[in-house]
Amino acid sequence: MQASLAEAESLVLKAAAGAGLEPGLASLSARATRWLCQYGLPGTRLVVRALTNWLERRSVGVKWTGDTKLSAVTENQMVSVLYAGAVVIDHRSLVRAPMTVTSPDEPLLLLAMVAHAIGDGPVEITWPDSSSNRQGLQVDNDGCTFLGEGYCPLHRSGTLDLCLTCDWNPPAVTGSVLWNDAALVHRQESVYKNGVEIEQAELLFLDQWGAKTLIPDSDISREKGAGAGRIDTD
Amino acid sequence: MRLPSEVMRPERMGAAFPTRLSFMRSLVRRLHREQWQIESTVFDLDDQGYGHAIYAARGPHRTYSLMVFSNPLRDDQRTDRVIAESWDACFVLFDGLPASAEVKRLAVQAPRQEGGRFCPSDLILSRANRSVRLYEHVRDALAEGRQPDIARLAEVGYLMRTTAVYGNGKFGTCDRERLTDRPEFAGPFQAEMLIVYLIRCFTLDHVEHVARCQSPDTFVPMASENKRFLGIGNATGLGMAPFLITHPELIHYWANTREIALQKVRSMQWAQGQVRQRFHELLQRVRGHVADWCVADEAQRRRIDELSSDLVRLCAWVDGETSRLERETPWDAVYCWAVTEASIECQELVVSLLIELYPGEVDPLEECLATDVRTPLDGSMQIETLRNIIEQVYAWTFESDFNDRASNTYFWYYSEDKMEPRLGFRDNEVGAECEMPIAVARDVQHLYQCLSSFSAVTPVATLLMQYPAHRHTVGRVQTIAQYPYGEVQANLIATGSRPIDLLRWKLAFFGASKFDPKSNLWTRITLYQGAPLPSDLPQLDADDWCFPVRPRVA
Repeated sequence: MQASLAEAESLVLKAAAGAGLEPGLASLSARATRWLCQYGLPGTRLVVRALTNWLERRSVGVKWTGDTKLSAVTENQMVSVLYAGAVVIDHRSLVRAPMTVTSPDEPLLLLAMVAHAIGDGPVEITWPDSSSNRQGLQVDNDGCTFLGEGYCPLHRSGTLDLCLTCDWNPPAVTGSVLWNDAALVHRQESVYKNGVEIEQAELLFLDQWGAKTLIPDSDISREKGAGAGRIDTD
Repeated sequence: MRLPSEVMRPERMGAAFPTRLSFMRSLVRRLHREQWQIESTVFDLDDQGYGHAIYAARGPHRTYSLMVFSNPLRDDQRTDRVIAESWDACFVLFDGLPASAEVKRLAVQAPRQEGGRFCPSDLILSRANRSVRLYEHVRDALAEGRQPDIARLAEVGYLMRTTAVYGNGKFGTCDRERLTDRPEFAGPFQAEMLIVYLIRCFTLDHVEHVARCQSPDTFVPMASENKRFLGIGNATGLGMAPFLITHPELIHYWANTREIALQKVRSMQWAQGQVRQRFHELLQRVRGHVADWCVADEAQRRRIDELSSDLVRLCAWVDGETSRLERETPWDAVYCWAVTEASIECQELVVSLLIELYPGEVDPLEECLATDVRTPLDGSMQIETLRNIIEQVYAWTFESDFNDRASNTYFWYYSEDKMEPRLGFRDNEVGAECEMPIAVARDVQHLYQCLSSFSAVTPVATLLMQYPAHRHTVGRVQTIAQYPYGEVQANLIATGSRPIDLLRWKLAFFGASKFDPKSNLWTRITLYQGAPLPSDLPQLDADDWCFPVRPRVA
């Protein structure tokens, strides 16, 4: 489905709330999704995977395992970025050294959360690709840069040093999405012109979980809940 | 300046009137200033008024098109609510001039409204139903060669009533960020205001077309002054209220800007003669306007009656001593008189009148009404600081005792039925676990209680890592500390809560008038009543249409 950015954000907000995420965390995920989608990045796909990981308990919350290191609360499990994103953002001015998040389940979504939420300073997220090259995205005062085969400013500043260390290969989508500035601008223009492509399976997932925030219709709510009549011929 | 604790209380919000900062006023000033041309380019309607039409609005840089699809509607299908499935007319504001393929696409999608799919070239989506009582009267009068009864026009005020205006990406329409670099849409809700203005144009043309078809030999066109006196109606329900809660920064900018405007006027040391004269003229005009304000709701009717008598007393006070407005700080004196002597409706009407007097001082402030700012959460804030903010900024929340059921009566939710926003009783309806997160007073109290288990110097980030459920509220408290006008200071889930007060406040910022409450949960209003017709826009006085009064019978 071709959707608007607002729809992508709204779908994620409702699905995250329906899945049981606290409102403050649901809105963080939703805004990060919109941030990614505006650059033509697959925000809804990433958040669907992150929600699935969390619902199926493949990812869990975080705890401090050092002054600057965040790890999964349960050993040998991935860190859910749905929680880690908030923790990183909230601690950005408390932890003066680069923070390390070990084994985040969706690094790019974590980057989007951080880059969207902060307003000052550099952010760096790196992870090894399948050939062990250093890849990732870096946000600094000059913008956000893809560390890989090309560079692409995302025009976002920040003041946080953040390192993610992944001990498995992250999803392929993170490897070669961004290319250069011109490509990025083109992506953004394309999104504004055509909307965001949300795949059917993602839409189904988001709709199913979003539906859990809706109350089934009833006679009493239909008649009285809106305070208006059902026929208004005047 | 008036404080948030005064301004953002529902009883005062529920007495708001439009001002010259209202979004419709801004739009009409722009249409006048930039000499926009509005014309019907397609008017393919049958004798009953069914078919499609296109109106082009040409500005200095771009053209926008109102696409209209008018279809038969049975009386028993006519409802103002979101749960409606069909309407008398459906509309899309299109970016540019539509090709025939776009017309065909929207002929299918627009009548489906929430069930349709739209694309980024579709800026705004809307629909409207006829006011049967007035539409038929006007149609028949014009067909019979006479002007409609002025009293009937005054009683209703519009031929059609919109029941929703959707934009900002809803159902696939254009996202707002794509439009914000266009000067004509940089202000709040300007695209929405444009489509409503164009819909009004269509309703006037539509009734004349049908009347002409009904009796071409005797038909007369409607007099321009009667047309100007007809606005466009709107029915607004609960859906508008959560917007005020979920956009605190924006709401702060609206309220703060209006208060700055008021303060500028109250601070005027002296009033020039022409401004004093203008005040007298507006006072007389607004008395006529209020006299035409017809509502069925008993409580609102009493408020209007009281307002009418307040205005009589205000006139007497102003005229009582010849030099009342010639003294120092006259407008502050007028405002203070209203506060001490008059009803809250009159106080807020006086605010509107005072702001009206100084366009040169006030109009530039409209640049301050839009913002996309979002306040980042500060995890380094210490618990003690957060506690102090709550005690100072959220003192009002402690008026509610959430152990008392009366403080916790309702929950707000979205129904499965077209996602219509509704209010449920917590004690006897299912679904409270799915309530919208807008019970600010309760949530702030819960947060405040939680703070007691942390030391004063603990950073908020530590609290949130342990209790992520409070993140939403912590962010809100920090936001309101910076944007104090951004919070409605009321427990919206309490017995006696009146969402309609919030609706009126927001609608007044749009420029709505003639508030006609139908319950505590929804209201009808009139938009653009008195506004210039497209043919009036080149004229110099195109901005002087606030508080319209019924035209005199020739």
